[in-house]
Amino acid sequence: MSLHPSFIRRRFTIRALGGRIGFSIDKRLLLACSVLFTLAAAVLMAALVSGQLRIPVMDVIDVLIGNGQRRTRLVVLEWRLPRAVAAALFGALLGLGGAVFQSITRNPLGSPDVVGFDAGAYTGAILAITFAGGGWLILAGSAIAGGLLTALAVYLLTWRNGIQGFQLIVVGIGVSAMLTSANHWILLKSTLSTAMAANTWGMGTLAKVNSQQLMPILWLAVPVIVCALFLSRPLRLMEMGDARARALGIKVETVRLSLMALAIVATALVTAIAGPIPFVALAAPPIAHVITRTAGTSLAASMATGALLLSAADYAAQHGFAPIQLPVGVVTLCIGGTYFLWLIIKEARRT
Amino acid sequence: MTPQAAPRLEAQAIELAYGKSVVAQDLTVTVPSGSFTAIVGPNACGKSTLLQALSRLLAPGRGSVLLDGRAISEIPAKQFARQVGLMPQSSIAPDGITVTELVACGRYPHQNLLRQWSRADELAVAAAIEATGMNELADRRVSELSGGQRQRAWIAMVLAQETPLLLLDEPTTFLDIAHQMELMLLLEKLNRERGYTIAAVLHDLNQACRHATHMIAMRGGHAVAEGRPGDIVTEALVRDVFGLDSMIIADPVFGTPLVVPRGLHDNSPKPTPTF
Repeated sequence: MSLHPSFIRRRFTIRALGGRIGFSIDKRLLLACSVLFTLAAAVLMAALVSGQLRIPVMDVIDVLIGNGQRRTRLVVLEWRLPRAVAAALFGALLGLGGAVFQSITRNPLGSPDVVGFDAGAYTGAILAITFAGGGWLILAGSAIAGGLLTALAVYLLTWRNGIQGFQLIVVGIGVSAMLTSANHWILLKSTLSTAMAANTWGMGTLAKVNSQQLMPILWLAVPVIVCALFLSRPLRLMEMGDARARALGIKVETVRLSLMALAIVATALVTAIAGPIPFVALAAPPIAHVITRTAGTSLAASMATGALLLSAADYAAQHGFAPIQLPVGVVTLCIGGTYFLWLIIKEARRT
Repeated sequence: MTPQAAPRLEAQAIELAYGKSVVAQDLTVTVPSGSFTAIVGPNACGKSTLLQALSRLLAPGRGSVLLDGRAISEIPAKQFARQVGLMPQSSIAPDGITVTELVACGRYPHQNLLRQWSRADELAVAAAIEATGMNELADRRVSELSGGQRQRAWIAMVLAQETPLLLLDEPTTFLDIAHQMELMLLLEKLNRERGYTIAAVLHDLNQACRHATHMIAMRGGHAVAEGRPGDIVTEALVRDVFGLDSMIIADPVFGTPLVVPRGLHDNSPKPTPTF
């Protein structure tokens, strides 16, 4: 009695300490994640090199390991690194949020923005800009509060002895639509400068990210990502249906609620600094699925894909149309449109 | 992969409800250790609900379910999942998953953060695939399998869980007559040769009589009769439980009771759903 040879061949397995430790991972998944993260790192490096002042790769590396001229250090570490790191990190966080919601709702349209998070965050931001002037800390706090409250409201409105994925999406779209009209109404009533400030925020941009903003986000993002990865196995098993998952000893409601909270926080961290960046959360998980071809959701692959997507999108936003600087949200919107077109063509071919 | 000591599962005076609609009150039944128990009854009699309570999916409002004398609500989730395996009515196979990958999912209750894939996991998965005769199909995608093969793959996943007790909710629904037979013979083999205690909700009374060693007949949330199929299945019971006039003969092949319907009983309680 032994396992099918091709199953063994497809897996990379390590064991240690007399079998007390044992991991097994699909080789293709491992390879795909490595390649995606490497590519994201390459784009990050390109972002450090490129700009009006072109800095050779060797000089960038020199700066990163602690040497280099003062001027080069300033450009690389203070101007370019925060934005480049933010693009990769935020992409990963958005990919995480999208993967969790698509898995839980069992719907390719599931993502934190679908349950009204982005619309609520925008409401919070507009209120902050209108009534509190819009210092970044107040803006970020208010946006997060708006997003969390909206997500909570959608969750409670959907709750009927548990959460049904499809209902969550429908209720989320309804609440989003209501909030969006409220947002428009507030903007129409506000002054021109307020409206413009809100509009800029609402596009989603990484241009203003600095290291003072990024550090706290980084410290918060690490535990969120680690916790989510711990729950990724139960999440995958829950895709077989609640009854199966519970029969395997998984506390389905606890896992689901924890993961949704983590996904919302992941998205909130991004939105607080960069505003709502559309479509990365939506597109990263299915793209990851196409690349890895493994069964079920892989949070790691979705994060890697998100990191690459947003890094590349932000690189294009910065350098693709120079000297014009686009908000990265405009670029991801184009990616999202292309993705939807592909989705429609794929569905049309199937039927 | 032979289970250790055959466990015994019993429901004591439980009340079962979905929200406010009560499905069963004061229900007491036993799944004896080492038995192949069939739970039978008309639609909406609460038999699937009972199975949910036995498998901890539904917490009884009153009373308790005991596994070897211990309330199952007090057993930690993962520990319970190493004792009792459940085959729900419907499941979703993740896109593109292969049979071996699916069966491997059954090992979850035996794994932890650091030990996610052990030698014991490999052996249990291989044994479960062997026991269900899925060796040839082990590398196939679940979506490519026929209905009967898919059901066997799911059973293999539950077997890989290595629980001495198996609960199955209408495992033969959607299967043609040959595949039903195949599945029932597999369960019978697991029960007789490998010592599994099995409880299954079954729709087909004759099928239940053929394969089960113990039967719980339910109507309207009550256990009307409990015992060996040969002892309890009578014309009166069939009339009482299903509202069916029938004649009971000995199955010419199996020798077990065979219910031949005559027609609906006149003042039969129509099988009106209570919820």
